[in-house]
Amino acid sequence: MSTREELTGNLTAYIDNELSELEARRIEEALRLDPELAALEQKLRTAVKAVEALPAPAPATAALRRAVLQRLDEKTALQRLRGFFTLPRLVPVAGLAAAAAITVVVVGRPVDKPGLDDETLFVAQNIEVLEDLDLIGLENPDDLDVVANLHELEVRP
Amino acid sequence: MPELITRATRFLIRNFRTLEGFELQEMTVEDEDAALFMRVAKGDQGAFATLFDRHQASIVRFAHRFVGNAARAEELAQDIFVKLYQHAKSYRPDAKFKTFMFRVATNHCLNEVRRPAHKAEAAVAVLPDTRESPETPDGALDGRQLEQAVGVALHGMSERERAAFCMCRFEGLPYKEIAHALEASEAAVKSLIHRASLQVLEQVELLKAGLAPKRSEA
Repeated sequence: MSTREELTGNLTAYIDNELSELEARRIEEALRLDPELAALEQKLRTAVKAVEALPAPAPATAALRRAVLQRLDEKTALQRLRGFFTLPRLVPVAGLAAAAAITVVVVGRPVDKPGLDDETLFVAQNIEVLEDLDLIGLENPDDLDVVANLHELEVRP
Repeated sequence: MPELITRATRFLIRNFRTLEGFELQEMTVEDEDAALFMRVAKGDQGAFATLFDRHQASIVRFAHRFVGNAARAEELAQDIFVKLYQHAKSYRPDAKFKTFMFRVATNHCLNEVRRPAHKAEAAVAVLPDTRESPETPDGALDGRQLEQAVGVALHGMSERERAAFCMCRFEGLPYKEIAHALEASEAAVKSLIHRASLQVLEQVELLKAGLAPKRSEA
């Protein structure tokens, strides 16, 4: 035997045909015997049917479709990019990068030059100029000065 | 010849499920949705577009009823479909696609209505319209009045009542599927829908009595 509270609680499910056959029979019996319950059931049924008959809100615009598909394209591109940087790919790349860094450090390190004085270094750095001087046969520093100021000598009368 | 046809038919029936891709199987719409969504899980955007076209109106409608704002509903629908695409791999075809879809939609809409900004907007948006409405001969409410009563009732419902009510009344989902979507028992759903329906009835009765719908503090 169901209480009135239980019967009332089942009214909406009864209207929605969501009760078992036994539960539905109990409700129907109660509705015959209880005018108040029957009145509530009628009002609920009317309200439910009216709500279900309400026109649907305006349908989605075509812009929604475009927007969703565009976002998916962006996500897919991002996922592809992420998919590229997977661990199996990153490990060899990282190894190569580390090897390159080590090479740069080792090769780029200043080489010690033991036993070279400043004059020798100067000569070494200017070896090309000195070779040129040899070619024109200037060995005397005074002659070098003349060559350096040749343009002045040419202008003077 | 007839014997050959009979034998061929028997062979087809025997090997029905093993035939490639179930192409010959007569599928229901639900099965089709599930099959399409399985293809989405493998990155098939065409399958996703078909599902989108099939269900977008339903999702926009659900979101609109849930948050009470058409523009926001479209934004939410966008998010919901993107989430569906992203979570396609977690879908198992033992659950109906529609149930899965509404679970994603409900969770997303619940997150939306829990935002403080939404609560402030909704408080302004659902203010009752107190303009005079034309009388209907039998005392029934016209569409606008009923819409207003439903809007106020929805605003007054708990989040789960609103979700269950919208799925039931506007999308026609049976209690069992609503229970799956809400991760609740069928008994709980029965109770949620009943309480929600009583709230709508209350607002309808208030309007019929010539009183403005009452804002409840949810």
